[in-house]
Amino acid sequence: MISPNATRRIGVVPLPIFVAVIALFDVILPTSVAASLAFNPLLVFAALQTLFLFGTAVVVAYISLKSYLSGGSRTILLLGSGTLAWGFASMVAGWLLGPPGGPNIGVTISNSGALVSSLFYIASATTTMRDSSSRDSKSRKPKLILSYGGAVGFLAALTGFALLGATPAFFVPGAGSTILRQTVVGAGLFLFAVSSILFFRLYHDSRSGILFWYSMALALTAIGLAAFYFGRTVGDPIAWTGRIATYLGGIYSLIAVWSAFRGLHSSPTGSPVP
Amino acid sequence: MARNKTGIPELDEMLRGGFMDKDAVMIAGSAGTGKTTLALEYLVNGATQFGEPGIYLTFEQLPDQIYRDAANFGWDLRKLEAENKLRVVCTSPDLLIDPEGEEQLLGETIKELQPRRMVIDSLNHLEMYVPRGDLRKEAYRILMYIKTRGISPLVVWEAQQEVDSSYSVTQTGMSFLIDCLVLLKFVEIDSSIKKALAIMKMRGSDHDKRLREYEITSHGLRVVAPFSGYEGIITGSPHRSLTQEVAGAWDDAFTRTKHKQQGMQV
Repeated sequence: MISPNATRRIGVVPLPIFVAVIALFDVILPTSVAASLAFNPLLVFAALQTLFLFGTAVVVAYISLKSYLSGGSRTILLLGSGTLAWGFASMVAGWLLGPPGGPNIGVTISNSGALVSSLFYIASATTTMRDSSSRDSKSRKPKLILSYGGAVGFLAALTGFALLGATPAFFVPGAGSTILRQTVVGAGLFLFAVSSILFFRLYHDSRSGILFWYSMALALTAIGLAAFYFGRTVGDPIAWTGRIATYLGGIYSLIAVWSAFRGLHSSPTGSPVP
Repeated sequence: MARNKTGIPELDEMLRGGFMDKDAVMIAGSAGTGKTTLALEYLVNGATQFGEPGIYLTFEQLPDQIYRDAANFGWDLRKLEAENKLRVVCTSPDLLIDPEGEEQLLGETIKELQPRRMVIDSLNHLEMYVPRGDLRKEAYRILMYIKTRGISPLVVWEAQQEVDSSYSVTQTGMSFLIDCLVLLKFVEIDSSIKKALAIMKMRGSDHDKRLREYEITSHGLRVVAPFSGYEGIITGSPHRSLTQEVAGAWDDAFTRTKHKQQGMQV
């Protein structure tokens, strides 16, 4: 049986590998070569986004929902909302990456979703520094609807506007990313990274497997966004490295939920929590 | 459909507006669950908030005790009696069992007060005077006596809470006489004793099927949140559902750590 510490050490390994691969591709791949290597199987991409990002987000958002309704922690409410925003945006972006609107619509939704979600995460991570539980159990449901509904509603509206061509361009085929995209992705990447560090700091004090895997999931998402930042075109090797990092982030968030489940069934002398 | 509000907002909400008018209501529960408090609050609120005078018929306590206990909740029963809004009748069950005695005991008071509500605390006392086989017949006769005079009866029943915390309110065979059954019981959750209220039955009306926690406060009974996420409360072995357990662990990870840190800072 592998000890929890060993499992967690293994869990950290992919992070530097992804960073190294992205850095390597960035150095060795000229734009023309990267573009010729672009690979965009639309259906596969949509399925991967739905399964690894939306599916995992739904699980985390549901557990956060139940947790918020019974405990009233704003940290959890914001975390659930951020997860849902990221999962929803990723899924929609996955299905809208191809024609008729071209990659700009999918990229707009995905990157804006990343920023919205990172705002929720940073708010969640900063509320861990002060007592933020709502004692008024009656107001929890309306707040939950407002927060979850607001996150999804905003992104749904954004999708509508993007489909109507009413949003500024994020990606211009042939020219690449716009400054706006770079700014949005850069901000999202920064906020994901800071949130990850704040949650990891919390893990450092508690040694909770849930916090470990969740902070790693956020770190992987930040690495994924970094890949989108440095990527030359949609579907190039750097972008795929980033996508795989975010999918692994989705898996890590599920491991965080699994840790919560395992924690219930392990005793001090029982099987260890991953 | 006319409803008799209890004046406890959350309970009225559970009852979809209150007890149905003229329905025989039973409040069942073991000792200390607050049956008498709820019954008295129903009468006091009826008299003070809804203009419905009431009679509190007890075999259990002496009047001074009742006035004193009610005063602890801020209910001035003497004042209500002086205002002809309430009567406290302390008597022996054998008087109620005898139809003539019953008329003697209540007839004049009913004529004078024109009550709309009446509490009998508790029906168990009849067991001392009536053979077990005749208990239902006697209870039926008393309830009919009250109902036919346009009064809504509410009876208190002390039900034994078994070792496994389960109840069998219906074992006495009284349930068919009762239109609405409110169960009060103790439950052990997270190593502390809590009180749970459930509406087990309400003839001819929809009602909240959830088990709700309640507290006895200095102002009477206060119904709080439902025991959401728990299973097996009625059967006496409450436990959180798996999802709720995971959600609890999730909450602990993100919030307990924070509290621990704050505690250390202090």
